[in-house]
Amino acid sequence: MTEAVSADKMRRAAPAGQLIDHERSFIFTFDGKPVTAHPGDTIGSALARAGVQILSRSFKYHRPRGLRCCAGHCPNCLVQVGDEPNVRACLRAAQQDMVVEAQNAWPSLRRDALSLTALGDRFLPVGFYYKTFIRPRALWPAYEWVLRHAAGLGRVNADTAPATYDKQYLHADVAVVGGGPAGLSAALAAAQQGARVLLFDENGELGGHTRYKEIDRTAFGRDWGLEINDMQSPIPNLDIYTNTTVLGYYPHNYLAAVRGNRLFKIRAASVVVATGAYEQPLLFANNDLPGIMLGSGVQRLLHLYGVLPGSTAVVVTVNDDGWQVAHDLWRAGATVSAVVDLRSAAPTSQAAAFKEALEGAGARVFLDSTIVAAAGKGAVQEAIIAARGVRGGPTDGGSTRLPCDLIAVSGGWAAANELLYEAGAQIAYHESQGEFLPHALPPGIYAAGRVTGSHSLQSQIKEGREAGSAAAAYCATGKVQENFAHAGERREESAPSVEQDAHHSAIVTDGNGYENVRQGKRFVCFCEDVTDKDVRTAIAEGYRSIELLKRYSTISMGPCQGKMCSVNAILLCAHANGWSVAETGTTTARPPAKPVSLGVLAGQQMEPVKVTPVHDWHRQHGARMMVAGIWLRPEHYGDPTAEVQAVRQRVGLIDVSTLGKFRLTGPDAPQLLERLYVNRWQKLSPGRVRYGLMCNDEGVVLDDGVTACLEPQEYYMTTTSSGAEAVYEWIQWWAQSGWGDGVHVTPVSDVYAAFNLAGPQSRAVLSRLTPDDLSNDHFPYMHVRQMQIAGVPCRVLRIGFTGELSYEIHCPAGYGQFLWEALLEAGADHGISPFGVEAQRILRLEKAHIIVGQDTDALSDPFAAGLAWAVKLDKPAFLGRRSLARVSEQGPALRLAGFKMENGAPPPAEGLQIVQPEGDGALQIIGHVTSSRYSPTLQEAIGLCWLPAAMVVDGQPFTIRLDDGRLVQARVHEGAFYDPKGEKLRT
Amino acid sequence: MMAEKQTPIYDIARSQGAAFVDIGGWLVVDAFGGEQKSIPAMTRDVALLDRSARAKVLVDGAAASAVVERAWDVPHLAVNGGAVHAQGAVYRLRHDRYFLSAPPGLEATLESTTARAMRQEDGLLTITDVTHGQAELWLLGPAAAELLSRLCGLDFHPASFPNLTARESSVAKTAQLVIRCDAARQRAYAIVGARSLGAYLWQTIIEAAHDLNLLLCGEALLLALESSKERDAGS
Repeated sequence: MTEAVSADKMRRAAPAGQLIDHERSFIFTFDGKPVTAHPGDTIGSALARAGVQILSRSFKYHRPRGLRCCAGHCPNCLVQVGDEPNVRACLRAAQQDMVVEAQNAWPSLRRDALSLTALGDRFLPVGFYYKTFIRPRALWPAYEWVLRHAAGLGRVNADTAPATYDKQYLHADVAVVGGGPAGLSAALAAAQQGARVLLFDENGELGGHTRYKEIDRTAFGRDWGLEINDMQSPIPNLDIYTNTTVLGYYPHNYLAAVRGNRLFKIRAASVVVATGAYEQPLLFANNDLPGIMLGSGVQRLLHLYGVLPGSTAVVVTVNDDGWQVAHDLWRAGATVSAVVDLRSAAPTSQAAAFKEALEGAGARVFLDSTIVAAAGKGAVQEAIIAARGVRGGPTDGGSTRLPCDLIAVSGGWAAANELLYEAGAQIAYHESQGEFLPHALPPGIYAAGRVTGSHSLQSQIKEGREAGSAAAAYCATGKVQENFAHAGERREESAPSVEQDAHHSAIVTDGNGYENVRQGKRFVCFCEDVTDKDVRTAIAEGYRSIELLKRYSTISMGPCQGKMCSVNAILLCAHANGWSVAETGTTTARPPAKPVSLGVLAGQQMEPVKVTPVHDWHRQHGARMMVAGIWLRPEHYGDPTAEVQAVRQRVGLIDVSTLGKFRLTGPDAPQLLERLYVNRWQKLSPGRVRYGLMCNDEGVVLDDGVTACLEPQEYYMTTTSSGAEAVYEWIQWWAQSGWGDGVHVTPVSDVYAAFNLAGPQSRAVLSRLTPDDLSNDHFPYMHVRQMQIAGVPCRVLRIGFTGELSYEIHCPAGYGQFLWEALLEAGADHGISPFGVEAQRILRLEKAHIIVGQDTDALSDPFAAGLAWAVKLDKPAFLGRRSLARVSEQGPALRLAGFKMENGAPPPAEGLQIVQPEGDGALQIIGHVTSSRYSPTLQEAIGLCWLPAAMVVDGQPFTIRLDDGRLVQARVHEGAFYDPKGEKLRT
Repeated sequence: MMAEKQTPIYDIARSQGAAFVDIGGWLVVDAFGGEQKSIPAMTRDVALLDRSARAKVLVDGAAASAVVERAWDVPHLAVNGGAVHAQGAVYRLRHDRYFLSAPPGLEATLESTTARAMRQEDGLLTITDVTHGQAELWLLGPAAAELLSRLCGLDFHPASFPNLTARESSVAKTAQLVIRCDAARQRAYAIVGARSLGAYLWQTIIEAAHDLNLLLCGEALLLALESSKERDAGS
């Protein structure tokens, strides 16, 4: 049995850890070994408590990496949890029986064979893959295979059942991003003014840095704890979303945020950005060793999880924060062997007390000094420090080696200003603060707290309240308050205060030792393993612009998205180029600000599909369903040939509820029809039905269908199933353009189910269900009647696409299934058969009826499509008239023609080319096949095709080239293949 | 055999254990088998009802406003506003389009009453019964707005979308009319759209409510809830 990693290997911190329930515990596994965790633990905190220091291997050199920020900002703790790759161990809550594994390591995390890559690092300079893997091109698949395996980030299991993802839309007057002191204050202030407020924070609890730092809780005249408590009880107009990360800002205050598997799409009238700041690492040799952590990361482990990450610590700081970190470590039971402050001045009064206590406990204090390197095998064992030289680098006067198992680095702060960038804020480098801070914000965008460079609780709360009030006022008035100055604007006007100076980000531009020391790699970008040497090499190669440097070196393009490296890269770039930071500029921030899974972006699967009122019957009776546009339709019920024979010999029933249907009312309905269709409508009397051909203004066939005149001012139009929505938009377009004053067009496609009862015995079947006279004299071809069928009020059109006597029965959709079953029952002893789309295609092809969109394309006009009879150029005005008049004079170059295959050949596939030999024997493409089927009625293969107009002569032979290159012969057939005179229709 | 009218959810509801009752000639879900037959369950989370059988009529025309106001004795409505009357409710969807809604079987009443209010000077007015052509799904309960916000980008805050508001929008990638129609003192939304999309929408709503304890509900439970609320009000 594998022994559990002992929690006693590391001293338990004195503070209990506010999130941890020490009374209960459970087990999960990390690389197969059991690890004890408590409710409240993250994977990272539990591993740290268990003494596990290496959590991952780096991307390129496979160097060991351990916890660094404990805030989800760095890439050091990416692990695989079950089938989910790239989980941040410092954020993901530990759960019982969770299976956690290291990723990007082989054969094991402790002994990763690919770490040998580092030995050949001189052959792997920055941009080496751009230079190396471009030739020979044929080898790229092999290169890719190697690179994918060597530099992967976890593995995706394609067999894993998809998780449930969804999206939610949120709306607010004021959206506040960040639940720290500034954000909380802003949210409360805005809510108190009556605004609808949404507050988002990526952590599980509100409070920001006050959760893990000792603070002056009465900093703003009221106990800060009371502000927090205010948020615990519901405030009607304030909704709080914890564990929610705002990923990006989009135009018009549209925010995207993610919580778990849910994507929020947020629309707000104004936005307060209080996203805080990221603590920064320092550059020194081996600055990536496990055991080197950010000061804030150490404090999170101590105060939130009750974990002491080391027993002997060296703290390196550029501001007062480091002194507090050192003090916290000492109070938690660690030995603080030294505090190294890069500043020459003594700490401010607040930190002076920490210094005094630490010195009293035996800590050595090094002012105006820096860390040169860290040393250790697998984890930090020594810090090498030296006094800073004149230019900030280490002096030549020697260094001091300090044994330790923890180096806490407080390297200053970089404003978390991605959202402000995306919102269009003007952001500039403030020399006095050493930070990129906003100094001009777009209307409706506000910023408060550390993101504006405010590092005291007092100023954060004050700024938050002001921003929240201003944002609420903006919502109410739509205007920015007069005389309101954003925090950044005010800061620009004032000299830095002592407090600000104490916190200023001292990522010094003249370096902190990297130039003169050769004791190991100094990583700028931990995600992509980019060192300061790589940066300088890239600049020497000409990639001097920070944007080019980013693309060439891939700095800031990894999982941290620049949170740990952008500022250092900019400072290095400025230094190497001899430019100021302002001249160097910044890279462009784009969403998402933090990694997000594709599943979250996809959300719930929504693929709208329409079904007819008889859909369930079709499925229950063995229909093979097919997708037709957005509809599901029965393709056939097992044997389309038998279905064709049933229609030709007896009677068949097809569900055509998918047809587009429109109600046209009003005195000007005939005029609108005249203009929409190429044929004539004025004299269509009530009770009559007419085929209509619709063209666009270029004379191209758009759609076809039949329209019935029900009453003098009421028409019922049908369109093709797939064309219904486009036709409605087309009609609306022209109706709104002045042709629709005296007519209303109402879509009623879904109001009516529609069935076509077709076949020589259809009249006999229908007559069983209605008392109406169905004889040819009383109800002739191309007429419409209102009648009761099986007690259902129906509109019956005597039309047919199949070429047989047929009735298209339209009934209120709610009766659809009842009527369908009634018709089948009535036709049972006539051998009625339901038939699907496939049989209908064969039946219509036997009649040489076209399907718009299949037999026509975006260039087909009625003359070419064999529909010249429908075009009435003597009408005064209709869509396409001018174009069609021109075509009529010139004649079409190509024509749609029917054909039969020769020598019993099977039907050619639709789309095949029709070819003709040239003089040199080469084959010229002269047309193509649009429809083809084997006709059970004719016992031969038939089809429709496009041919040069001159070839469309009955009996004209031509050649079709099959997919495999063989040539087969066919002959033109003019007119319908079946019942060419249309006698059966009119029977 | 008597002709029966089925809603677009009929088959799917039957497969989910629904028992049906005849209302206005329609087969309407009375109750779902195995449902939590308690009113508290209905008022705690969110319930989904198929109310497609309700009468639905569109009135189009420049004089639609005047005619509808005369016919139903309702106040002048702003676009997207609504009002209730003795038979049901009217909603103004556009400047020249109204949507009339009533219990199942009253579509002829809606049509005839509106038609009778027409005057010669009103010009062209079209009254279309769309009862059969539209699915009408209701979400009812405290979590109704949250569930709807997972499918629709409208702002359902009471200040933006008060009771008797009707807006056309996209719901689950389909065109729908969303109506706030509180019932039994519960917040309720009707989603009215193409009948052919009803089954898709029903299933999509169920999937979207994966963590909301969605209750599939029939008319019986809604009636019981309404009765209990009336009793509460009386006492």
